[in-house]
Amino acid sequence: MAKVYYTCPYVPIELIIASGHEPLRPQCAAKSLAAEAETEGLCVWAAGFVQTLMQQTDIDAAIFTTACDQMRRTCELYAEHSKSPVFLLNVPKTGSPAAQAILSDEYRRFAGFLANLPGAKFACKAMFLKQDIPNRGCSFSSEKGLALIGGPLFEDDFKMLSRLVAGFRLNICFDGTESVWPQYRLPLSQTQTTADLFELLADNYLSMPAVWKRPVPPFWNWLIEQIQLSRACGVIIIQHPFCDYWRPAIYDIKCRINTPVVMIETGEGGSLSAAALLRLEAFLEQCMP
Amino acid sequence: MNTLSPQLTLNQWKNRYCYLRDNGMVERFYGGPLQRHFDAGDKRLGRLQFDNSPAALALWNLILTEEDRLRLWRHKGGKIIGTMKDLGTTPILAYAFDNLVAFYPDAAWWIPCFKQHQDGLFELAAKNGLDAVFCPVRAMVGAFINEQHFPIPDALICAVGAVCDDFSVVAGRLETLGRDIFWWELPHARIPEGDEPAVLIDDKQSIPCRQVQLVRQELIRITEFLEKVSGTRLSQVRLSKTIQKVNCIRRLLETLRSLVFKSPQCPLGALEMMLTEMLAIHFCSDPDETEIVLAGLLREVQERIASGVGVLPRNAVRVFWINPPADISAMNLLERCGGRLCGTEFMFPHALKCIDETCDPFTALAKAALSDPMIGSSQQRAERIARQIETLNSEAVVMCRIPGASHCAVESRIIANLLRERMNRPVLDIEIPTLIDPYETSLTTRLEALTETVRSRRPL
Repeated sequence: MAKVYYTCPYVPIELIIASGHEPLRPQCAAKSLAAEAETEGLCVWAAGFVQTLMQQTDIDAAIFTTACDQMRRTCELYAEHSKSPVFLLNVPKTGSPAAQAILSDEYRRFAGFLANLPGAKFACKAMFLKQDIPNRGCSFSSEKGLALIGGPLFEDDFKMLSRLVAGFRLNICFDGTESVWPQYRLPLSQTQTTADLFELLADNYLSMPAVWKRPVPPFWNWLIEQIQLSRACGVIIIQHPFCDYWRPAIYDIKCRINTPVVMIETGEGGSLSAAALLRLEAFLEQCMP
Repeated sequence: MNTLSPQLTLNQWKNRYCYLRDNGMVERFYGGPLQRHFDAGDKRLGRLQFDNSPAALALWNLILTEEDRLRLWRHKGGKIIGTMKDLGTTPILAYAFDNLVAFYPDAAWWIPCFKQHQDGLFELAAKNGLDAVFCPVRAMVGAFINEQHFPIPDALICAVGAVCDDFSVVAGRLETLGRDIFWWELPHARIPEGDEPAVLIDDKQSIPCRQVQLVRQELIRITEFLEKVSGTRLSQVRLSKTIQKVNCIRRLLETLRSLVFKSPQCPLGALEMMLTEMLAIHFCSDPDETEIVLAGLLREVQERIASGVGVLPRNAVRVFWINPPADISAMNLLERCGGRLCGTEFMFPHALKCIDETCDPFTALAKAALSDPMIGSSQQRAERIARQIETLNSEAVVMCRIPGASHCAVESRIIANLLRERMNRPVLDIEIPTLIDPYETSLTTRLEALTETVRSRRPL
């Protein structure tokens, strides 16, 4: 059994498990970013993922995707130094028939890659087992809650943010950050009639919301609907420096809902800065019951 | 004997224009003095040094009248297609219809430079969520909002997939502002694996046949969309003829580049060379006029070479330039610092190469689209550049970063490192902002250091 590290929600964990391997989505921490890391112009999440990989001693393979430009190119930087195999998964951005074919081709290619890792043994049935999808414990409760959206959030930042929110007698009632997107995917069903396993998988993953998908409106419609369903009394947007996809989110959200919104930018080292936390506290004061 | 053909300021061009007119210069329908563009708002022209030939004047006039010519086209009943991001492929499909012309709204990234920030496009973009973190292409959003620049296209087609994040977001903003966009998938061009069927896209690189098939499928989908916009069916014969025409233009351009980059004395300045290359992506909305302008420039260059005339001293340092500068005056600055352009990679070498005329046109265009260096790996792009540097014997490299561009942070590092390790040539990694004026002193110092380094390495 090989340990396969990934971060993008478009990496099919079913396929990794069915191939007899262990999918590992490292809980990147902002603290993992080395002070000397060259992050000028580089998305801190991409940099954080690479640094986390470099700190692992048990890594058998690393999976990157083309979901964003930064991750696509960071893959090259990582591959230069990596001793273990690296796979770049091509993630399409549209829902065109060609896009669907690209993704199913890519999953087929990925299966071939997985088959060459040590201990590989394919078991199709495992594809359809219920997967343990990361959920950071947000809840729909009677308490006043906040919606959290934006780029993937470092785990240490998430914990700090949750504590801070709780201190104001609030909770996170909707987590829409990239880290938890897989939980919004439809479960893979064996009863679906598509003959080709990889086409089925591609269909399924393409149903997942993603900020980089085009056309643009469906993603924002979905996100706004989720925020409204959660009855959040405020929205926190997490923005990493140099992440283009989430940068204009505050504009998109403010244009469409009346709920108070705040954008919190992580520092170049990945962590929420003292200034960002102060800003957040001021926002929470306004939202608290 | 070698002589210098002096470059002129805008003011000097006034007299030169009168002189040429008095001596029988004949211009195309979009001809006229350069000064009129300055008077109409292109204030950057006042800071530039221009080539003094009628051929260069025609080039400037072709470029600076594009918006007027597009309006004229619409007035005559033609339709305008805004093609975005793929730089070179989809316009060819549009030109295969009698009533369509194509242009790249992406080119709006230079409007704030040409207008010296008097256009307010960045401010409009910022009001719509696109601040200075994004590359200058965000100006496109402002131009769509105020409708004071290019005519708003009848249809928009945008490549998405392995394109830069900035562009995907900027184009996406147009959609949320109510513009319909036809998105098509342009995937990351990967290296074929094992015995996977593949096709060569240049002498060293190949791509999987399967990717060509899928992009071909997308191009057919674009054609069906264009047929609806045009109201006519595409004729395969007409498409093949359009490709032949495109190849004719690209061959002219290739000859011109080869002469300019390889000639011992530089026969055409960097600024005009860069603009000439820009013609390749959509032929400045008029393939016929582009061909005429290029032929004129080629004649001028051939005559200068034959008579030993150049625009720069013979010892100018031969520089390979990577990525287009956000401020066009950076090209003049390079020359003022003792450099000359000897090789370029402005992110669209795929638009400079001839399209395969031996296979079906859609397959040929799919191969062309997949040759885009921006959708492949940075390593491959760097290797292709290294081969060109070797061929052109460039002495130094300028890696020009685009402010805010998502691809530059990692890509520039990979390319610069590979070139430094492999080429034994100095590489200067600089960022060129939309207006270089406040940074001119430091940029001058860095460019001069580069050219001095090269000179000190030359054998006595």
